[in-house]
Amino acid sequence: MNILFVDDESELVSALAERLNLRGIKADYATDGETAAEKVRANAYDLAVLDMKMPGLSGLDLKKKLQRLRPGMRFIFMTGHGSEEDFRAGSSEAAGYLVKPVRIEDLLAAINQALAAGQG
Amino acid sequence: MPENDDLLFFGRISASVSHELKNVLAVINEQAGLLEDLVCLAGQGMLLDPQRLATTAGCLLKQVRRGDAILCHLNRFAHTTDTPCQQVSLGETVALAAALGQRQAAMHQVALATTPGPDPRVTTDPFLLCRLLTLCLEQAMASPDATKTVSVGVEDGPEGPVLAVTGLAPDADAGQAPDAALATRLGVRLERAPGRIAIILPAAG
Repeated sequence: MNILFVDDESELVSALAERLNLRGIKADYATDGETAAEKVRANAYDLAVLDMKMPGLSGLDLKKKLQRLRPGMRFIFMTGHGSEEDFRAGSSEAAGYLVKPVRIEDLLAAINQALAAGQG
Repeated sequence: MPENDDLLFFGRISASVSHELKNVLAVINEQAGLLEDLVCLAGQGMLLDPQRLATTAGCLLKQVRRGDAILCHLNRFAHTTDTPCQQVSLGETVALAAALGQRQAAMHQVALATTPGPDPRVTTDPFLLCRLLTLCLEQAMASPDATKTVSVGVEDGPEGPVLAVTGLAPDADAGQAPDAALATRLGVRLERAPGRIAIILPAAG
């Protein structure tokens, strides 16, 4: 399992990646869309957890870009908003949708569920 | 009397601030969770690096300060609705509008800075003034010049104090100027020049 976190809050994504690493899951992070795309070109990630609202590319646009680079990749959206609009967009465009702050157990469950659905 | 657009503006600012606070809480949540993970592993025999703990504690303190600053700005903004006519420090108005605009600046990948200047006090509606200045900043951030730096500050003008927003692209669409009706409600004049929007307030007294 290889996970990429993308959010402009560097202290959030670095901690999330480290917490997954401590659980034996390979995880990395990027704080902008361009770096995320570079990492996806270079690494076989199974899943990306994307912030919906980031400077530059939005989470929805970044997902489309990363999907073109690696078609089998799965996605989970993470947002601070929790608005109806975000929920509709996030739920329809990704395998999971989480509202910050996220419980690590919920994150792990969403990742497992998204990857299991991808194998179906 | 407040109008519907005023309420929409208040809601928009509140939504932006709450989003920022969610991010602060999310960082605190993960950094505290990371500490918990490390302590748990230490209990199982893993060596704990004191520097690692110090870095995480430093990050937590920084986020608490960040959250406190965000709440202070929200509180000051909320109090602009207390009375529709009061003595207002223009320097403080500029600082507040710039602070509230930082998230949007980041989204536009624009630097938003305040420029030092005089700090006259004027009698006005602080909420409407903050709203008008924010609209000017939003327009500048949506159409910045090549430096991608928008600045806001107070100047002394021949007619009275001026709130000046600079850093707009010279060809920024003047047709999208902030609502003139808002300037009329506030009793100020909006003046556009290439790369600049000025809110001209009446001289005191």
